[in-house]
Amino acid sequence: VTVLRRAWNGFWFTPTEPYALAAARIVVALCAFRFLVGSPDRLFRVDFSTPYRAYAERDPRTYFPASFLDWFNVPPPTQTWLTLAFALAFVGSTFLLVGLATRPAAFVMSVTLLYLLAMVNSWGKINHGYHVLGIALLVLPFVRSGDAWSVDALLRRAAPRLRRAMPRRSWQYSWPVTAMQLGYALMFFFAGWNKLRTSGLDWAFSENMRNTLIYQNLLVRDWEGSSDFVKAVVSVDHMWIWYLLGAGGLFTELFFVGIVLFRRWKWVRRALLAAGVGLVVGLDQMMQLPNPVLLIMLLIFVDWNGIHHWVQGQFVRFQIRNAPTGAPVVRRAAPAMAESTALTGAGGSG
Amino acid sequence: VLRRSGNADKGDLLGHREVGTSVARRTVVVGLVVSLLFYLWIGFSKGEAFPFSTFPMYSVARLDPYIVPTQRIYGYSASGEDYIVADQNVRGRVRAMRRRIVLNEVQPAVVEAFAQELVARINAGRLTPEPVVGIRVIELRVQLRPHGDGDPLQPKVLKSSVLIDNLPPGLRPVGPVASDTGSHS
Repeated sequence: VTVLRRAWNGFWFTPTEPYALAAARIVVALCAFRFLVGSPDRLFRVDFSTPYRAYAERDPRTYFPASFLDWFNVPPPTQTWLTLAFALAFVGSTFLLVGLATRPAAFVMSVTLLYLLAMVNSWGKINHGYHVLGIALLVLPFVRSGDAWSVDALLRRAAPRLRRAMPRRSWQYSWPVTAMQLGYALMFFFAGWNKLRTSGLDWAFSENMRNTLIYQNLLVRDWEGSSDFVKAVVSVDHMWIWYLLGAGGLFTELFFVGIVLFRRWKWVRRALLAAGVGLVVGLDQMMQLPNPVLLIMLLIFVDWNGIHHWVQGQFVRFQIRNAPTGAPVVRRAAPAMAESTALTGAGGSG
Repeated sequence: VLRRSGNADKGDLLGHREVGTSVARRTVVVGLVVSLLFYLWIGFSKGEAFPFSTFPMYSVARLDPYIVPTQRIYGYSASGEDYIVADQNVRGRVRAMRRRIVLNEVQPAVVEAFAQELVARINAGRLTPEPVVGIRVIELRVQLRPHGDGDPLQPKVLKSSVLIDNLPPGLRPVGPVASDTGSHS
């Protein structure tokens, strides 16, 4: 029991710095914008008066509420409610992006965006592309994502009274990132598991990949946007090419969860991250299934704490290199050290 | 050591500080365990509860001989000219409605309302060269050519039937597409 408990605590609650969580906050806000306004060029032309008008104008009889909308008997959306939800989600996402009033903004954005995401999935077809965003939204309101790279952090640094509330490392920064990463990785895992359970290894080692590519590109898309490469792949006589594509995709889906489970093996993590990027890009390029949200959300697997340290180190080196000859290089003490020293009254020897 | 000394909220000299109380951490543990178990249960039981899912997309292997239903959506202008609607959102919704029609889950009136809504959407999005007044969805039963049996890019059309038809009374379609076929491949 002790070993399990230690493993559990090590997995979720190893104290870390706040940068990875701050990056996750920014990534989620960007994904929210992607959902709310579509392409970036529409960001500054958002029409608050009639967002999602098409959904409000749909026949209520074609409304099949999904998930919690069904559990709570939420009626079909009206234009007023959609406008309100859209405006709140948009403002919440903006605040979350810059980290202003982060916790309330995260709460408002999560509630409204989860509603909108479930609503667009309530018309007979469920789009699985936004599920990882939905899982991240369940985590964000409960965490301290505004302790770094945010306006809140700047304000707190400026106000000594609030500075005490910002630890340098904490378990509160680690579990949210792990939860979001696990939510993403399990999405891949279950997709792979379902393929194995439903079709066995035939899913990879058969003509399945060829037929799927033809179905997606020819029957669904009429070759619209398909590359010549895809046409060449489905036309070749070498079945091993399809086996390779199928097995590669299945392997990535099943074992991507290793990126969360084996965090100390950096090269495994990097290889799995590259495979994940390859899978999402491949779905777009070969199967005509573009999903920018899945691609953007992969950024939560990047070691942002490490990158922050690297950049900081480069900055210090730059300062040392460019310091005038003879002038003493003043290194700023780590905030937590200075803070702890001030709190405990200790000093001198540190 | 910090926890035992009762100074968990104050921290040590290195800034390794426990923030909050153990109650907060216990709450997080309970939330994580419940969420994880729920996610695993949904995933392994083929459930669906947004944002948790079993993610069943593309799990059925498409083996030879692969016969698949596909739909072609034709929009008709007031003059009877037909245009293929290739928009992916429209096609996705038609596929979803088709499943409900096949399973007898919807009344004809709902299908009619759905078709009218699609007409409005096609016109609002200008998905055809000129506005349409009605649509017809043709279901094709198509067989992909097995490996080594001719051009894989030319599938065989085995059967076609009308799935949804809401052409206004009196509208006479121009051209060969009435209830057909793979001729517009």
